[in-house]
Amino acid sequence: MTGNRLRYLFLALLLACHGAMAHNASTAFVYWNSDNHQGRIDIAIVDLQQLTVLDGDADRQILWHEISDAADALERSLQTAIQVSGSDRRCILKVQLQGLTTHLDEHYAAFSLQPDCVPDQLHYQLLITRDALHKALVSIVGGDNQRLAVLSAEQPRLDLSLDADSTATRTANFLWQGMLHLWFGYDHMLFLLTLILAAIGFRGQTDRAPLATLMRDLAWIVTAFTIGHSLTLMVAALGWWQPSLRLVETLIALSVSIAALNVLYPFMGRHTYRLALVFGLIHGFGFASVLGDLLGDSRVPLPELLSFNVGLELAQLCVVLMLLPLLWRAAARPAWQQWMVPLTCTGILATGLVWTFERAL
Amino acid sequence: MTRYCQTDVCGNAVTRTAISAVRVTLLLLGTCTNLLAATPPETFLPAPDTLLLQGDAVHLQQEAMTPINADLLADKVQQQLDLSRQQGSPRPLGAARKMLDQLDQKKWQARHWWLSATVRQRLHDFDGAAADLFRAMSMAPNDPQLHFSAFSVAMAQGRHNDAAQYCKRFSQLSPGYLADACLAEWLAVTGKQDIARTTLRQAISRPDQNHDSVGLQYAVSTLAELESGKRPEQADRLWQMALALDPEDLYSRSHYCQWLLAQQRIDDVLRYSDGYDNVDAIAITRAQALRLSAPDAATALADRISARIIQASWRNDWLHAYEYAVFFLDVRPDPVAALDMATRNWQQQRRPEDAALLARAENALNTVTDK
Repeated sequence: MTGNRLRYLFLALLLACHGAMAHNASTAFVYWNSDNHQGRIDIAIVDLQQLTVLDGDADRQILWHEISDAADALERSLQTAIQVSGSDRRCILKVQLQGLTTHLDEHYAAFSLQPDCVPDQLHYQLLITRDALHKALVSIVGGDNQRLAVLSAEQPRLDLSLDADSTATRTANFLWQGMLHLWFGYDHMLFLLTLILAAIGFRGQTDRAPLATLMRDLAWIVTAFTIGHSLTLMVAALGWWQPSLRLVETLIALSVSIAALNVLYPFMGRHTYRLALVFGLIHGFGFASVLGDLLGDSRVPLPELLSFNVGLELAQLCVVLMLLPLLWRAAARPAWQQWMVPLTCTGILATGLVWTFERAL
Repeated sequence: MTRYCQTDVCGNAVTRTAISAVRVTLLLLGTCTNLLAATPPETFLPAPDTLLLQGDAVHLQQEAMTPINADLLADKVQQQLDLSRQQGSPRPLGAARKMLDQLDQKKWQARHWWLSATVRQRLHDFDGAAADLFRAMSMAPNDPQLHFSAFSVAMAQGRHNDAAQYCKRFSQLSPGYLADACLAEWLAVTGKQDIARTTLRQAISRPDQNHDSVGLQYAVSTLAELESGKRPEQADRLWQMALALDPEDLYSRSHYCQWLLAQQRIDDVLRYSDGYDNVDAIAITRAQALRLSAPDAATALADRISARIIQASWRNDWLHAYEYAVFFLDVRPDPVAALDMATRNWQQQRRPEDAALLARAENALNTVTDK
């Protein structure tokens, strides 16, 4: 490479690292009405140039009449690149230049889309063969409902029904978030860990309980925790009652310490499930506040509430199934009683107390 | 509910990632759905001679997408990169990527890998850029450009030891302003700001044998940044010098505006940011300045930036996550959204300013939660 080119490339790269950029990548907008099965696509004027030459007089200006003069060619390009099909055949799509509009201060040409049958699928090839970053942002409306989607090189096909992902995807999404919240909510995780440790036992047990017995005991404890937090999650998420978040947070932290103390000094005896039930009620209010935050509303629709709760339970089950066999094996070692449990529980107890003070103050 | 971490920013990345994964739904499901109008914007028929586009954005001919030879293709990709730089737009990067994809990678030379790395770097795909540069360097180990690119990528990713190695090699292959600047940048992020400033001051005051205006501009803006917290008068002079050397350097302009805002020089912010509303980093600083001088204009600009963020969130495109986090901290306070954006940015970039932004966003959210 020549020295000049090298320096020029340097500049390009240096600015790239610094990263101040204007504008957005190429974006089209598709508006589909699922009531009358017609739509509209808005394409940036700068992108239309990828479909045909617009500046025929080469004066480095594009005027509206140059767009309308090229309407036939543009409409043909769109007909080729946008295909819609019904259940039994591909529809013939009538595309017509409708006028000018703007998106984010940028001029767009709007084209109406009128298929000759009722389509349920859209296959989009516009511009993505020339621009790897091009995306079409799709809004499907029908009645009072709206669904948003994105078409891109990776995702060129779209189901045009209004509820294609509204239920399934949202349910899966909230289920996954329920799982994430338990796994990464370290206070909940520590509480669960202490429940498992309490079930395995520590002081005064020379022999471990068989794994099957242990699992049965733990099932009761975890079920009690589940019942507790499901109840209050429902109470708070449906907007019936939500205590002060600070109080809930503080009590959750305190529950961690008390549960750890119960492992070191099993004051609940074989009734740890009662502890799990009572503190489960507290943790449920904590889960509810997260769910409310996610939806930007303190009242949560029932499907989201249920899927979030199922997510919490699945995550809980995963943790128990993963940890229990490991801890059960570890419990056979002398170190279990000598230092593993005392040290772990003392640490958890102290952590819980620190959180309690932090959150209370 | 889990409290948001208040520890050092490198500490709880896993937790933050999870929090972000949860939080982002707020934007994607909540904000978007609520704010985006179900109906499309109105259309109208303009007068035939209405001007819609002009200048370099107008193509005189359609870009051919037929297979072409490797060198010609590299030149065309280069043109797209230059266009992207001139327009400050990511739009040509999509075309550049598509052009590169036309050529079988078995036929790629070092230059193609470098171009690919540059496209990836601009799109904040730093892992991909680093991998491409690794391939390029295996083909052309003594190309200084590759080492400088690798230095930039390593710095963006917070791999300071690697960055030092690349800078050292670059200095051996191509001594000059850029080599001095990369050394100063590295010194600064490793806590040796005073040495960094002295090194770069001396370098800039040396007579330039190579007439390297590009390198000089870069070194001056780097020094301006280093002086910003220490010697305001010097910083002011240096930022102005950087802009005089290249008035279209959006990085210097946006950082100068931010610095002016920190100095409470509102009129100067408005002067230097005028005409750059399309550049998020500059527009957000301008919106902050307008809040102090012309609240109505500030609201209008903030509305436009909000619309861009909504579109970005609909596209799932977070190239400007840093700027959006600043927007949600300083222009339209929304600690949840700010932490979302700062976390997304942190997943892409690990520079000191990214760490500081994440810590700010965490503190903002914790402050709200504690209330």
